[in-house]
Amino acid sequence: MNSEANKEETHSQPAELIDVAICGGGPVGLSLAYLLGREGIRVRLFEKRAGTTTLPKGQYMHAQTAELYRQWGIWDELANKGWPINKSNGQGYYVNIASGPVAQVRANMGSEEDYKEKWAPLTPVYPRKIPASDYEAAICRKAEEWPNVDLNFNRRVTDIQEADTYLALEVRDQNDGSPETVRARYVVACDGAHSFIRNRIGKGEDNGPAFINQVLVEFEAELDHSLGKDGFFHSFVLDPRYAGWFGSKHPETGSWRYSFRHDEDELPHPDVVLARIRGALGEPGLPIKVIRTYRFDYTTGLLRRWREGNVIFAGDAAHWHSPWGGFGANSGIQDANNLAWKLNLVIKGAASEDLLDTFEIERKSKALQTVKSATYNSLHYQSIVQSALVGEPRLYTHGEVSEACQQFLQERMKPHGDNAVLHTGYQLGTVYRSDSVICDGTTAPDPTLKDYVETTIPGTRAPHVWLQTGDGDTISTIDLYGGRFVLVAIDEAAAWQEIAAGIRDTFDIGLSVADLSGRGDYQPEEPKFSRIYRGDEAVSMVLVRPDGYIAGRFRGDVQRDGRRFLHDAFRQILGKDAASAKEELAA
Amino acid sequence: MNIAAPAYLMPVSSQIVQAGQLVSEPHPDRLFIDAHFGTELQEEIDNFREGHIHGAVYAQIRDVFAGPETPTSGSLPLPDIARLQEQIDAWQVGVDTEIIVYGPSPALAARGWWVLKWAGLDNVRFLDGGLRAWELAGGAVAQGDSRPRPARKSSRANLSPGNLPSIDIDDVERLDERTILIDARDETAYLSGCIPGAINLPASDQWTPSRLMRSSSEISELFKKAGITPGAEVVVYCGGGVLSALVFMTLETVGIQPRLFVGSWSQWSRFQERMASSAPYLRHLIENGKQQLKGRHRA
Repeated sequence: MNSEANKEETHSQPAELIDVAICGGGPVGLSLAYLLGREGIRVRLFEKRAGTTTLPKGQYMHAQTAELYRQWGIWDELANKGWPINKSNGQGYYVNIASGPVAQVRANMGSEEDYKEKWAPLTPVYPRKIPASDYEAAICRKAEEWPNVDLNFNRRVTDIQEADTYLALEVRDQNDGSPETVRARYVVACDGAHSFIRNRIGKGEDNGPAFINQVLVEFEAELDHSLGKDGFFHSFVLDPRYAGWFGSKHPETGSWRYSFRHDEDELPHPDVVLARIRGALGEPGLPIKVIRTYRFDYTTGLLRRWREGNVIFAGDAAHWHSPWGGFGANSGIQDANNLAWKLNLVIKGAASEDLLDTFEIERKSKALQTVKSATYNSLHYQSIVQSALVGEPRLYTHGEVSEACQQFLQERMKPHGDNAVLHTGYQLGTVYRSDSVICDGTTAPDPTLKDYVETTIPGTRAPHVWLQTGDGDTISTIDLYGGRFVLVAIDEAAAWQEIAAGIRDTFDIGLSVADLSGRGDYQPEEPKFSRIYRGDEAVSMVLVRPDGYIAGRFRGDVQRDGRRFLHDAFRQILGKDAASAKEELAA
Repeated sequence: MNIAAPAYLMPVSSQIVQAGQLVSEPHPDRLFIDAHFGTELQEEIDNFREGHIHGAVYAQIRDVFAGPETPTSGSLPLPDIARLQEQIDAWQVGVDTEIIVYGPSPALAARGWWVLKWAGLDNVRFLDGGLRAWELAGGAVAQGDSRPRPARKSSRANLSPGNLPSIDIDDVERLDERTILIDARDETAYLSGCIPGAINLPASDQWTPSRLMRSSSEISELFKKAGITPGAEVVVYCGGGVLSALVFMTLETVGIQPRLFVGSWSQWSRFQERMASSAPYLRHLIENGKQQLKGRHRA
């Protein structure tokens, strides 16, 4: 055999066509890889870093994100990582730390158990503070388990080209620069605030304020009895000479964090850093060992169109902002959860490509809320500090503020309710309105930041209800959702089982039935189940989407209208007529 | 607990005071001087009226800390001592008065500090960070014109010239090889024309964007990188003896008291022959890449 000929053959052989190439291996890219992998989609992910993150960032885990981790089987391990509630409880405001807090917002007024109980009516999990290094590593491990998922670290995407029937990525090894061409049907850009794909393919964005030169210092010092005493997650320092915030002690490394806005691009001199920390602490002689100093620049923006042909944008690549509010990783992972099932059905031919458009329609309004809230939080903090400081001479000389100042600060805390930054409404109260939701004439409650009302109005989150299994175990309705459509049969379960079988056959998609009628495998907790799921109007069926959101619900005569209702619902969602769906699969 | 007082950073000079310290340690006979310059004289006065340290007096450098320009002097020659005496008498300055100089920029305050010390006043200090630092430390401020000063509390402070070392243009021309000549202007000015043999150490590298002086470690590193070590002979100049006054003050951190060339570039550039000697030096700098320290502030 002629070896020269062989080489030529290898060169001319096109790269294998995969289903989805994911650019970016942060929490969003990794979550998407896991979710698509679970459905058997062929995924390759490319991440320029050597591994998952070690940066001190992304530490808020919202309840709804935790629900996903529970569905993915990593909640139990993550529930034990990160900060216990009494070491991450809300925000405190200080003149300097040594002078004690002058205002505060608490996430929890009792013990760790009280905190879990506070959330238990709404969710089987609870929001926590966990380092991104822990959850990214956990998601990565789960994604890797799928044989059809290939995670590539140390690989940077350096070019993207559109051909007729595929997208071609050039990917380079970070160590030796060697290139590889990757061909994919779809590319999902999860490559962050400075997205390369957005730069190349995006058709324009709208920008907000930039917050630059944020310096963050990781350091070691004996602070358990001062800074650590009050157990806040963030401790804000009001003295304008040392304005900034402290994070609570890292649960594993024992290091502390202090962050402030620096007034120039270069990192401050080590002497200046030490002086600043000591000033903020109010402890002039404290021995401090600086571990690492970071500089972060945050920009703000929203991409106008999240889909250009077969390139889709998710997470920070589509909506990016400063970290104030803990929204970034959480909203990005929810993007992945919203997109994955749609991409899965389209790739398998079970849905028309139009289904992908509902990703942007549904997640855009959430992204707007997110970006506006993060911007507001960043600027609001400045206005809190400035207004508090006016007319307070004793602040500087004695570390004290007037009672009027303390009242003023407490009043500013009120809008946060009793959850500090973790707004219940933001976490659980998302509402979708699109063709992937079957309207029934009812209007979902306004998706405010603060409040969440449990309901089965289409387009809202399918609420949590505890269920008893036949073996005497307790699970949540949340555990039933994820991966495929679920028909929750509230009454006339037998009829719905039959109808569901017909749908599965017609549309060739996954659809499982959860019989919660009381005669099935699970006994739902009452009176909540009847109040929320059955409701006043005798709902007999709720159709839950693979992402845990309610697609539609049925009231009325099941025998007469149930099949038609469900058939029309799927036809609308999938954008395919039953007949044409079958035809395409046969072709 | 008094939190305002501690200075968390080692100050670069014994002549520099921190606002927090002043706020927490009132003095019965303290005079703040707000030193201004600028080309729009009325704008400078308005600036003072918008906000100044409570009790401060206004000083236009051209009128107080400089004498009138002549055809052969620099732009800001040293003041006539008798006129300066009249001014400090009008300010009710006595031998026990603590004088604190500040201004919109550190260099302006440094010029005020330098002239007063040159005139024999010992109790003169430079306020780090100026008005902004004073406000941030909780000091009281005022608006409008300055108020008449209370009557002098101690005996008259009699001025005399020459209490700080300066050097005239002829001696600058005759400097030996070992003496380090520092041009304290910004790089652009330096590269448009400088005194032959001068190295460039912009004064503006020595303060932060918020106009606080950098730490002693940072500034000593700047000087050491330029080859300035304890015991060296140093002369500093700038445009007219303002920026260089600041560098004069901070050289204390490497144990040096330099000589100030008050006439500076504005005097040197009046003379054709001296300008002629600058040209080849400039060419040499540009061809060979100047000994330059990178500026701290980006555009």
